[in-house]
Order: sequence, then C-alpha cells, then structure tokens
Amino acid sequence: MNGAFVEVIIEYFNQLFSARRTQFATTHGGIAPMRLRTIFDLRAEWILVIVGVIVGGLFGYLALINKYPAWIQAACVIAGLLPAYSRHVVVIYVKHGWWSATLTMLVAAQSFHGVEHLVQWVQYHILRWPFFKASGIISAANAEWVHFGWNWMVLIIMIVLVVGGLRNPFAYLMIAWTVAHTAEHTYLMWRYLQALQELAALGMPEVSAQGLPGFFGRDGWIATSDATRNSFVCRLPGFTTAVRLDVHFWWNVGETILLILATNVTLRQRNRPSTN
Amino acid sequence: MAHQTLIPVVFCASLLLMACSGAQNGAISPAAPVATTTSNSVPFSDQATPCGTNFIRHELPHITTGDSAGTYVYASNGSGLAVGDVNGDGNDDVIFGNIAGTVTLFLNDGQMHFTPISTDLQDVRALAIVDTDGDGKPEVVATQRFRRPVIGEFNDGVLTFQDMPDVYSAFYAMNWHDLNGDGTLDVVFGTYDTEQLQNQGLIFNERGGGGVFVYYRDGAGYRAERLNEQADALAIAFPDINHDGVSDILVGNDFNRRDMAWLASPTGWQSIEPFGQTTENTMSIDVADVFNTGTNTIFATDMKPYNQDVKTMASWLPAMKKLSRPLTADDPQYPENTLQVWQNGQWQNQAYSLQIDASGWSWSGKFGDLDNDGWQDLYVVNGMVAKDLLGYLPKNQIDEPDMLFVNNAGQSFTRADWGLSDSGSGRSMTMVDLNHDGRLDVVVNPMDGHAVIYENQRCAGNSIELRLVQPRTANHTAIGATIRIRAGTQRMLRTVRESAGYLSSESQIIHFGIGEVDAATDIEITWPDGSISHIDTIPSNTLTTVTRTE
Repeated sequence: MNGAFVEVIIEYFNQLFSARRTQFATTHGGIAPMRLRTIFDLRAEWILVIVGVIVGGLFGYLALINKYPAWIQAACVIAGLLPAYSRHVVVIYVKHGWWSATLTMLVAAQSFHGVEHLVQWVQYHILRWPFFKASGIISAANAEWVHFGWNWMVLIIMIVLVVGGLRNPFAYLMIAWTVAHTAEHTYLMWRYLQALQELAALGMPEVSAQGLPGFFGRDGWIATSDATRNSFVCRLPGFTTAVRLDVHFWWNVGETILLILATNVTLRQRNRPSTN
Repeated sequence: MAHQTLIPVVFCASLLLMACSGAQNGAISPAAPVATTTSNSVPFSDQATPCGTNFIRHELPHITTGDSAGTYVYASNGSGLAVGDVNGDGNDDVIFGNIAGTVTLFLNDGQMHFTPISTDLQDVRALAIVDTDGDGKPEVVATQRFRRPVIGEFNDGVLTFQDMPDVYSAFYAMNWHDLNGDGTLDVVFGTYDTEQLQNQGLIFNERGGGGVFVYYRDGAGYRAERLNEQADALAIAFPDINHDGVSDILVGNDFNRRDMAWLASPTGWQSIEPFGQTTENTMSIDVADVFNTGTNTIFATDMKPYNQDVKTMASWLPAMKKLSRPLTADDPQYPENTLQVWQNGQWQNQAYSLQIDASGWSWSGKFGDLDNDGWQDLYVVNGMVAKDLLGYLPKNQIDEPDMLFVNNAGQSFTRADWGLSDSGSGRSMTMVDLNHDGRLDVVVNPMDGHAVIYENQRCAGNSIELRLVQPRTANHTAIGATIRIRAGTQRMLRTVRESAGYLSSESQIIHFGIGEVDAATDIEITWPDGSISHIDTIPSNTLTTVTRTE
C-alpha cells in the first residue's frame, strides 16, 4: 500500500472532523487525553451496557430454550454489547479522530479474538473437549476463511496505524509478527482451497478440509518437509511439535500482547506534555 | 568373512564351575540357575550369493483376495503369514493365509526355490508354525474370521487341518508363549468384535461376545481364562512392561478401542494402562531393542500419511473422517505410529521425534537388521483397498510405497528404498533368512496381489544366527528366551518369539547383524524358565544351535 496515499486519506479525515472535535471540546470544557484504559472503559455508556446485557441475555435465553447451539446463545449476549461499544467508538472518533477510533476497534477486536483462542485452549487443555468441539465462543467463526480474512484485515489495519503514528519497537515487532501469522494463514487457506478442489474432483465435496497443519506445529510444513527431515529443525519443541490449536493460541497471545504494548507506548508518548 | 567349521562345544563343566566360583562373569545373577548346554556352529551355506545394493523381488503363486465382487472393509484386513520348518529339513518354510482364496504352503529348499502345497483352508486371519504339543514337530495354527481356530499337520506332502481342541470362539490375533512357566506353550487369542458384530449382529453379544483369552496348555487340550469381554485385537505381544523380568500381555486394538495390557503377578493378570500416548487404530506391535541398550522398545503402527501434500491429504480425509474419532486432550490415542521407550521408569513415545510416526496406512511394521550393520532397521508395509470405504478413489485404494527406515546407529532413521518400496497393499510381513546367507529376507502377504519374497542381496556386514533347542521340554524352540550378545562395543538383545507385527509369525532362528566385527562375544541366553547359559564367543557368519542338555 502506498504510504503517501494513506497519509493523504488520514489528513482528509482529520480535517473533516476537526470542526466537530473543536465543537465537542468547547461544549465539554476540553478533551481528556486518550489512554490505553480508555479503549476498554465503557462506564460512560453504562445505560446501553445494561440494556444490551438484558436484551442480549434475553435473546440468548430464547436461543437456549429453543435449543440453538451454544455459540448462538453466546453470540446473542455479545451482540447485545455491540451498541454500547459502537457508541463508545463513535465518541472516541469524535474526540480523538479516526486514527484513535481505528486503533480502539483493532485493540478491542484483537483482544476479543485473543480471548476466543484462550477459551479454545481452556476447552481443549482444561475441559478436555475434543478438537472439533474446542472452537472457542463463536465456534462457527472457527473456519479457515474467517481466520484468513481476519489476519489480512489485522495486517492492513496495522499498516495504516503505523503510517498514522503507531510507531515504536512493539509496533514494528507486531507488524513482523502479523506478517508471519498472515503468511501462515495464507498458506493454510491455499492448502484448504486446494484440498477442497481435490475433494470435489474425487466426488466428495461435502468433506471439510478444515484443520490441516500449516507452516508450524506438529505435522506442519517445517516438520514434514523433505528440506528439514532428519534435522533438528523438524522436531524443535513447540515450533514443530505443538498441535495446531496451541500454535494459533500462541500466535494470538503474541499478537494481542504486542498490540497492547504498542498502543500503550504510543498513547503515553502522545499524552506527554511538550517540552518546547 | 570368517569361516568356521563344525565346532561342538560342551559347556556343562565350565558353566558349573563358573556358577560355583561366581567369579567368571559378573552378569550371572547368583539367584539365576545355570542351564547346561551344548552348541555347534556351522558357517552360512550360501556365501557365494552375489551382492549389490538392493533386495530382489520374487513373486510367489499365491494371491490373497477379499471377495469376488470386490474387496470390502474387514475382508480388506487381509490375511497372515507364518514361517517355520514344517518338514524338518532345516529350512524355514512359508505359509500364506487367504480370505476368499485358499491358504498356500511353500516348502523352501534353502536356495530360494519354493514348492507350493495347496490347502482348502479359507477365511484365515493369523497363522503360526509352532510346536503346540511339544512333540518336536511344529504344527500350523490358523485363526479364522467366523470359525474356531484350526491346527494343521504336515504329513506326506499334505497339510490337513482339524479344529483346535477346547477353543470354540472365532478369534483374530494370536500369539504363543509359556505364560504360566510350566514348560508348555500357551496361547493368547483376541477377537475382532466390530467385524463379528457386523456379521452376526447383536447375537454375537448374546452368545457371550468376545475379548482377550489366555488358553493354557492342559494335557492334550487347553484351559481358558478370559481377561476381558471386548476387543478389536489386531496384534498381541509379550513385552516385559514393568521390567520385572517376566513377560506381560499387550493387545493392540483397532477402531479407537484402547490398547490393553496385563501384568503378570502372583495373583493373576493385572490390567494396566502403561502408556501416556498410544496408537488409535493399532495395527501391529513389535518389541525390539532399537537402540542397542539391552532394553526393548515397543513399536506400534497406525494410519498416518507420510507425505502431507494436498493430494495425499485429500485422498485420506473422507476415510479418516469415518474411522478416526476426534481426540480429547486426555485421550492417549493418536492416529500415528508409536515407539515406546523405557526411560526413567516409564514409557515415553519417541516415534514423532525419531520421525517414524508416519508410514502411511500401515499394517505390519517390524524391526530387523537388514544391512547387518548392528542396528535394527524398521520396515512397514502399507496401503488400503476397500470398495465401501475408499470408493471415491481410483481402484478403491490408497496406493503408497512400503516404507523402510534405516537405523542410523540409534540416533535417527532415514528413509531408504533398497528395492523394498513396493506400492502393493501389504498386510502381513516378516523378516527371515530363507537361504542361510546370514542376511534377512523379507516376506509379504499383500491384499489383492502376489505374495512376495524380497531376497536380500545387499552387500552387508557380518552376522550370526542362533537356534535354541530345549529337547526335554514341550517348548522345544525356547519361545520366550532372550539372547544378549556383545559385538564390538555394542550390546544387543533379541527375544525368541512366535509372532510379531501384524498377523505375522517369526522365525525361531534369531538373527544378529554385527557389522564388521569377526565374532560375537559374551553371549548370554536366558531360557524361558529363567535359567541362564553363557557362551564366550560365536564366530561371525555362522548359524549356531544351542541345545539344553539337562
């Protein structure tokens, strides 16, 4: 993506909403600086939160008594919170601009995604559920194309954020991490589509190819490639021995932590009083 | 190569002296009685065989078929094979089982010429050539798919079978061993319930169902002990699971049914689960000293593609979705080969770290020193054909090359060809020196293909072979005895067994590759009754017969 073009877009949006921001500051007697905790602080939207929990809970209950899958029940409750968080993002957008709103959405979404993988890890390692059942909270989203799309989206947004000012060592590490993670999911998606093609050619289009190993982990490309066979690389603990669920858990733990650290550092830098 | 003429050696006096003095060899336990023996060594008879880099394939006129209408699951499990000297000429003969066709015995003249002897026996699973009654002449024992086992006698060029006494169930896997130490051979049978249920329906359970049974030799017949009531037993072995010096029972089950193990104890068989990780669809079990540590490992095969490319994975996925049950985190079963290694007082699976976890749709997998370098290599036959399960694939089959993994001094395994990478659908397989050249040949009974003998013509190191004889007990060939030797810096261990792998019997002639050294030394034989005998030296490239004299 062309960096200059992105900067032009950023500038356009900044100018577009600077008038509203000035109006907001005038009305509320100034704008408090944005901090990391601001991203998760929904206290100002407490009414919407309560209403969302009640309505979402009600729909979740209806899903429960109508014997919908557990992930739909969970999705109802989460959907109930979306209006409150959407308003929260709009407020950040008005107060701090679209860059901050975008960062807020990415941090929140990646954190939720990280929690999804944590839940999946707990389901498998603690609750001892089988692989196919240990799919996190919104299990229907545990599909190859969702992971693929998600990681490309995170990568693109991260590039935009870095160009827009998210610049510190954690952010650069996060970019590198996300590039590698996205590359793995691109490889997985490529294998997935090829496998579906092969299955269709065999007259078995109904068979899913979800869950094939990627670059890393047990039975992954590095572990089974002719290039690495009989070398220490193909049996490096964790890198070429962990099951797929663990590999992606650690991918996302790394990504979430790096994003939060990068955000924290940049927001602190921005909030520091100027010494000039 | 060193040659040795006939050397009769009498050890009685020297061994008694050693035992009395207690100073000759520290390896002899003061508690272990000393067995007196005689031994004689003869040089391998076929030293002139040319050598090269490969095994030479010989097809035999026998084809194991599943059904005239096509091979379906269960029938596609194929049939066993057995090796042993049925006619007493000193050469191991070979018998191949069959499902829709008939069993064929091939008499070996010791020079790679085989004379077929037809039988009318069908629907055979396991085969054994074993002296069940202790008369010094081996019988042929066969389990059958839906009938009780039979015992055959080879007389006047004809192999005739009759029902095995006191055994009434239809069994699948079997293995022979003296389990109660009375000097006679007992047998452990396991049923294959999934197939029986499909064939008989629930009446199978109403008739008493299946499971694992020990049949102890009792006079002219057998006395049964039932160890459990359900099994899908494809393999049975007798490793010393808890390292107490006594053989235990290990049963490998198909279809996500957990493998079963029983420890021998003074109060009877104690059921245990000794492994943290096991195969899921256990197809075969071999017990071998892979690392020359003097301790056996336990190798089991399962189904896992060696290549993980998209085409291979797509051909496997529909079948594996049907056969493999998704794992929970605490399920010890994984659909891949395992190599259980005894370390720090427990078994640990090292197949993945040694890269022998995947060998295709694997059936019989066994260790043997195929190049006589002193390290046992791993050979696995594989492939699957089934009209109902694999109907979406050309010829209804997963076609993959059989896999040889060469043992690199116990450090790693490297895949090699050596002319053994056939893509036939192998089932039972064993390694045996058929032409007395000191090199292990390979015998395979595939599904829907000719039975094959791969003659070992690789230029190889030296070897020794031992035949143990206990003429005064009913366990003539000393099944259950262990042999330890030293070859240069290496210590090696072998066990005399009736069966190993998948539906495959073992030769009672024990083979050691010893590399470039001229003789094996410090030979220690622990006989089935626990007594021990020692031989100082056995020259390389000889077959030594060790006979107990008391």
